[in-house]
Amino acid sequence: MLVFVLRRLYQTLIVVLGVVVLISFLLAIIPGDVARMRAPKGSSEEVLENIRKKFYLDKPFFTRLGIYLRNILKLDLGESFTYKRSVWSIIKESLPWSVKLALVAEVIIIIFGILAGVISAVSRYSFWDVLVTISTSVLVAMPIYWIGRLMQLFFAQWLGWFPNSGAPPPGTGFWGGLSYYIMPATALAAVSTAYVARLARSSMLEVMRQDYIQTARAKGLSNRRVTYKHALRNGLIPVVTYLGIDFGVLIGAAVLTEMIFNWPGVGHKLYFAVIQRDHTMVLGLVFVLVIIVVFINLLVDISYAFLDPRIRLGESPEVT
Amino acid sequence: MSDHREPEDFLPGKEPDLGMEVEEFELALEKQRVHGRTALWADVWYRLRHNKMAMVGMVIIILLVLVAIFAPLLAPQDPLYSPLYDQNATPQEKAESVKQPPSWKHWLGTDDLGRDILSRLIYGSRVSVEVGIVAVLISLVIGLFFGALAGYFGGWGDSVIMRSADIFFAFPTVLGAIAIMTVLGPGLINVFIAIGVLGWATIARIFRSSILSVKENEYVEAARAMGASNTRIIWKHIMPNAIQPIIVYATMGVGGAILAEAWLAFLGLGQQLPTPSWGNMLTQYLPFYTTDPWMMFIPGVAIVVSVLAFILLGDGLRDALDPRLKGSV
Repeated sequence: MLVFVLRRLYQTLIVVLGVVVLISFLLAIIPGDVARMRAPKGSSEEVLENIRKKFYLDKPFFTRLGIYLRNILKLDLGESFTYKRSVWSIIKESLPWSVKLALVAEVIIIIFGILAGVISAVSRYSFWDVLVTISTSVLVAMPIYWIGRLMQLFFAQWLGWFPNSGAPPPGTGFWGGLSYYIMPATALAAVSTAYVARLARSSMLEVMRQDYIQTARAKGLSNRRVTYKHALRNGLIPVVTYLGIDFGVLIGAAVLTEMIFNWPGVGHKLYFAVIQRDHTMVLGLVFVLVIIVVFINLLVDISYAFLDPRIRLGESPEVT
Repeated sequence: MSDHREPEDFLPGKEPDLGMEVEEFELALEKQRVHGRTALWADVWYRLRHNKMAMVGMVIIILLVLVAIFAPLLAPQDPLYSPLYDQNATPQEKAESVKQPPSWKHWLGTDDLGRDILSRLIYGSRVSVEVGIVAVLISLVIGLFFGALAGYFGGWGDSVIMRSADIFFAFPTVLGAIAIMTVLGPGLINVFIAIGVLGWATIARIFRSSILSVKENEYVEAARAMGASNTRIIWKHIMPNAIQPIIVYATMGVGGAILAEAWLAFLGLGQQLPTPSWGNMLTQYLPFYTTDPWMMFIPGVAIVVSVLAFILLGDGLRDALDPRLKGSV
């Protein structure tokens, strides 16, 4: 167990260092005169010179790379040019919103993904199975921001069930606040729900073929008992692993959803940083989000090793 | 000649008599192998042909490619022509040309600048096809090279390559693409590079594990014993047997790249206007979702249908290549 944890920690350390190097490298190779792009039009040479000094643009490439490396290792992500604030303060303010949205999305994925997958596995080739197969394929093929706009059109504009966009304003009650979460969380959950449904279906079908299920049936247990007591528990192992790993991605990759729904999370800030060509902030935010994803993966893997001895013994070390 | 041979007998110039000329033996093997391969692919094609969904996907893909190739012949109008910038158009004509619903003159209507949406859709297919093919090719070249290196030779090269793959894996695609595009700047060529570069790690990983499972086979050992070079072993003996999961992944990857173009366009990083792409059309029509919702359905449906086509074909290929995997994700 200890060996497994240490090996996994070592791997994570390498990945984190790699991400640090990669991000510093990207910061250092940005082509063109960054100072001129950032300064207001018609600024004097002196102003440009100041900006160059501040962002180390007057230094040669490798010195610059070194400075960025050192700063990131000291967790100094620099200052956003557009917001005139440190990248950290922006993250502190917006990250909780992203995490909350991802949590609600995760609940939606668990409920609908597993339900759809189990139903279609239990009644294979039935109407429901075909419906799940088709709808999951279509969901995966849709641009996520279009899903968001369609939801706004149907559920906010036409039916008026939910607020169109934005986060709950301060002072909203629990149920009122929840209504702001439903649409963005569903849009964010859409693709993962489709994956979970497919994964649950194939995993359940795989388990139902096993000998011990036959034994359970032969003992005369009811169909329902066999499915929900025996098959479900083992069938859901890959699903739960996927859910854990996916949580990091839900926080990190919510840029499009947060933008469409005007959600004040990290992704929203990232979108504007991209539009404004605010390189420091883009790479700073990407760095933090990637590190979050990496650590969630680490936690999921370690907790799995506790729960499932097969993983710890290296029988199925790779979850793809 | 006795059965017992000293190691020296294997030195060059001292080849033992195997009872059959080496060339002759390789020729026989070659014949059998070629025959075996055609039989495999004929078998795959047979199974694929009987998979309705995969065939639907394939027909859509063929249509998509044909539309992209013959766009200038198919498009009823110049996709860039806007009456608003036409000096010969009267003010009334200009005002009426904008956001027309579908009609006989404009089958899919006109956009907010009075441009013919059908023509833009037809020309936009070129961007999608280009992104799909070029990005996946870039991933394949990098991924197969490093995957083969890691899987075949192993050792520290393997560790270095796989740890680098881990680093790329840590980036969710959206974040990776944003980071690369921010540095390279917007534009179609950079979309190719960003999507292509991000895809290599998965391909390298799949190919590596596929090689690992193939290379212990006896026929590979036989080839090595006959003195085949590493390149020859990889290309002639391992590749045909390890490539199957890659074919499936690459097919679905084309769909993924088309989708990626769409969201990069939404972030303002894709194909720049006025050249139409499905991604920038969808992005451009989104703001009219309350007043003219029909507009966003046109590029939206085009994207979904083509991405779906690649998923269906990929699914079908997976089932056809290895019927045992049928129904798995």
